[in-house]
Amino acid sequence: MTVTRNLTFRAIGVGYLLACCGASALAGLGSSPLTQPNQGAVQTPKSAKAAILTAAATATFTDSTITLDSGTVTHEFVDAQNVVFAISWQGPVLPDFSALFGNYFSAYRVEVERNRAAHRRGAPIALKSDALVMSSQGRMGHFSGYAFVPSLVPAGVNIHDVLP
Amino acid sequence: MMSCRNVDLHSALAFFLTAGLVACGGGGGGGTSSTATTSPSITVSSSPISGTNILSVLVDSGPNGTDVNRLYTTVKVCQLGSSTVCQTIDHVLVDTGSTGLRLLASELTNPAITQNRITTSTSLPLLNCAQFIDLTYAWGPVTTVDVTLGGETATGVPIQLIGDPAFAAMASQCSANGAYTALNSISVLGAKGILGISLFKQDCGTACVTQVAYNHQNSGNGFYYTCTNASCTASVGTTASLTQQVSNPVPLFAINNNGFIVDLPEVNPPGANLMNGAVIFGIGTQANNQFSSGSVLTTNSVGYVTTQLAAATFVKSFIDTGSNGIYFNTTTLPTCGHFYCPVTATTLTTTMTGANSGSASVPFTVSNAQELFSA
Repeated sequence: MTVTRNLTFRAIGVGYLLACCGASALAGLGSSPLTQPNQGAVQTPKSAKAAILTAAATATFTDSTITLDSGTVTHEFVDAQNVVFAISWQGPVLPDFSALFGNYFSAYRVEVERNRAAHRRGAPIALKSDALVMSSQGRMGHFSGYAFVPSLVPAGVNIHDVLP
Repeated sequence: MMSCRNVDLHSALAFFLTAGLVACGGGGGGGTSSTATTSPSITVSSSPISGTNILSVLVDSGPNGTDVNRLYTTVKVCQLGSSTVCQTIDHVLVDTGSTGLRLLASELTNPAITQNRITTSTSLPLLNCAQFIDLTYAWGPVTTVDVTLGGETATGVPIQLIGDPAFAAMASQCSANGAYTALNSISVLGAKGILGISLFKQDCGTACVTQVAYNHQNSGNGFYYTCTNASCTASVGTTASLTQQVSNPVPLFAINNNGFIVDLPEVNPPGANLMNGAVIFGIGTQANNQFSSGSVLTTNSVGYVTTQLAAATFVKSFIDTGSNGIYFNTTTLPTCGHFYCPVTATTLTTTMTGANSGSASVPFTVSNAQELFSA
């Protein structure tokens, strides 16, 4: 369960260099995680359930958790190659979706525009495609949601065991 | 598990069947859309209610003429302590999913009304941020006014002035560095303001009175900001006392301040062009707002109840007049894009359960959204 701890942390160090400069497209979902342990992120090694664990090296991942000063908690689920394959959030204020969704933020925005065109107002935003699965919901004072990239979910990991 | 996972749904005007709306949505929102005009013109109204604790509300196509199923009202705001320096603003969205009155600065044409700005301990403007899950945001200063809703008046109410040009250039922390869309015009908001009358008294509450720093990023509480200095060209997070925060006007009424009823008439397919209804202030305080029968459901600490629909359980359900539908996920109804389109109108029955275990059966009818929108 903790076999990949050192590997994971070294890899995240590289990710920080990429993420440090405000270029959100270089971090977030599909890229390296946003924040490092020394910036307040808590790294928790995870492993897929033993019953479905076929290869330890590919089925482990890290839950990089940040509690924003607003009280909102974000999770970035990071594979052994330091790529964020899933995210989730919950709390009183929205996280910065443009950072958290990384290169997939544009897919969120496109779905918002589709909702408006379809007359949906104040509705949850949800998308289920081969490229991205997401759900964003809640209202002022309490929001929650998740997103993942199906093609990036590590082999042996059931995404439904990962997300809240 | 989360509620409302995938979404889709619902029955356009049919959702305004009763005051017992079940919505699983997110408040606010804006943008443009297109819609057809129902012909012939149909107007439905609820039975007249006598009393001074009444606020008239309506559903029409909104100030842009393009919206569907949004509940509006008219709000009167006056300069603090004045009965003459006032303005009446129509088409303010009635939103039980958010807290506080937020008005477009562009609609408040008399600056004297909003001159009583709230400032921080360093005499700098208090600025407020409200974000919505459709990637929109409302940003602007907090000002204290007197608010009249129908026959009730609340004095000294902190409200948000959305899109005040004096502060528009310093919204980066609210706009995600420009990634979100500003709700600073009628065309984007689909309204002239938002009347947030949720279950809460302030938009943030005690969490914004004292800032807790979890990760040393100084990212602030997400609701309240001020200028970094007197030149007011950049903003920084700050705290705000409860009495400074953007507030629900209803608890600030002198009387009839312990709740309200949203009373809307039944609408049958193919819908209507105009619906007239009322918000009745107070619960059990007047002859017109007595609690006669039914169940009391309390919410959890963040304002949610649980809704059971067949085998699905939605644990983050809330009654939201700011959503224009009953948003839920089911596989039992055929979809047509982002809504459900059953061949014939289908009645579903949900069971809503509160934190106190009180429960209520809530039936509603889902009609064909395509037919309703094109009627």
